[in-house]
Amino acid sequence: MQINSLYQDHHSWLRQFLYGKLNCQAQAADIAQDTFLRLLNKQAANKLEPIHSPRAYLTTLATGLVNNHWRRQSIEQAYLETLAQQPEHMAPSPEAQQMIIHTLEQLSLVLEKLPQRVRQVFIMARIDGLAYKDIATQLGISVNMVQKAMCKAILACVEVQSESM
Amino acid sequence: MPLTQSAIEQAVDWYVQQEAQSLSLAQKQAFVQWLEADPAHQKAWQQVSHSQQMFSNLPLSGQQSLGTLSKADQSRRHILKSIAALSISSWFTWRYQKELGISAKLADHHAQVGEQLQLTHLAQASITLNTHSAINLDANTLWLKYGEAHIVCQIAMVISSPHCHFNAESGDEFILFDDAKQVRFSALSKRFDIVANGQKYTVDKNHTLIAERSGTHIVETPRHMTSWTKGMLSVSQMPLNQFIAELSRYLNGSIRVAPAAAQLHISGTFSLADPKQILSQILSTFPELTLNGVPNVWQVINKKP
Repeated sequence: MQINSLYQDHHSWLRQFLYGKLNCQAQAADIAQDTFLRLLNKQAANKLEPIHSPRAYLTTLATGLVNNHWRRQSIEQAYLETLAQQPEHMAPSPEAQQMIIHTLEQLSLVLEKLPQRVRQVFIMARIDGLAYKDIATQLGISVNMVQKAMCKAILACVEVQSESM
Repeated sequence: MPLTQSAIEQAVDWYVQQEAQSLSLAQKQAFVQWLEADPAHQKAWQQVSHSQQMFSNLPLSGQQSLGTLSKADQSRRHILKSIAALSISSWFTWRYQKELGISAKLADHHAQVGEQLQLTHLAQASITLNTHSAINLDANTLWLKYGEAHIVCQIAMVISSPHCHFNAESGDEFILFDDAKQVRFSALSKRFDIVANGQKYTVDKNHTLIAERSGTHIVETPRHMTSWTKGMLSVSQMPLNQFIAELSRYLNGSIRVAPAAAQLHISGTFSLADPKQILSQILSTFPELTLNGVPNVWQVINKKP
């Protein structure tokens, strides 16, 4: 099976590569495991194309995961700082906090794909819960333009979620 | 069966229509017909509505969310800088994008006026675009179409812009700026050999080549040419006309300085998060200055007689 031999031939190399990036053995081992887990998931979903140059492929996949790791860590920290500024009794449960951090992480991936104006529309509609016509009035654009922006934004959401599976 | 892109696009269309206004009876029937026409439509519909749930349930305001994300972005920027420095690994000498071969995709990225864009997910390089800038990227070439980019290469690449080109290795860090009036190249990590306006130049570490119509010279890199990568405009004893020329890159419309005011000097560090604020800060520091014209279109700074 392709993945078995990939693992045997390149796992320790990948860990070395990740150690070079992260400077931490434990994190390098975790992300190396995650990389192969991604491959298994892809295979299970029949989305695994034949791999011709394994190290290049693994490097690309692992680098993406390292970036996600830093993204999550920085978002978690920033969120906890935001939380610390609020009264204690308002704090969500630890499980809810994890959900919020996850959502912010996805939001950041979505926003990265969108132009500024579309971001603004999406935040106003989805996060602040404003009606399309109110957004149109506030931004001085037509409802039709709000709709177009939302189409773009929702497509980006679907894309981000299928990428992170 | 994998979901086709068009099923997803149709589902998104329906979703947005329903959010925009309540559907008429005929539209509702059309929607049900569409759903029932193909199991792929139902699956697409589920996926689309599911993709929105987590965001509608987020117990934060838009402002809180964006505030948290931009704080996170800033700290990540620092981390990524140190990663880029670490990842110059000696065994990584082969150019792995060659192995990736034909799948090299062209990608375009641009930052609007007043915006700075972090591109940290790319395999070729980690790139920050300054205000009003655009790049075009493929497996191992980066083309700066216009504007300014801070680049830390992860692989060997060819870098070019309308007036400048050179080769960069993995780990190289530099800033390139190219617009109609000026080309600047700041060498940050080492000494570079570059070609600007058809001539070869060697630029030492921490030095900047400035090519203008009036001539080309190399200077020790002034602070304001690198401080933008930290979101700051940092200057010392800079003539007002030069300062406004820098600042106006971040603002819509043009701002001119009348000769009478041009020779005032500005020192300080200003946050580029709000460039308009910098302008009003300058005006309140120098009460002898006036600002006239139409904001965002055309303005002129003059000295009161």
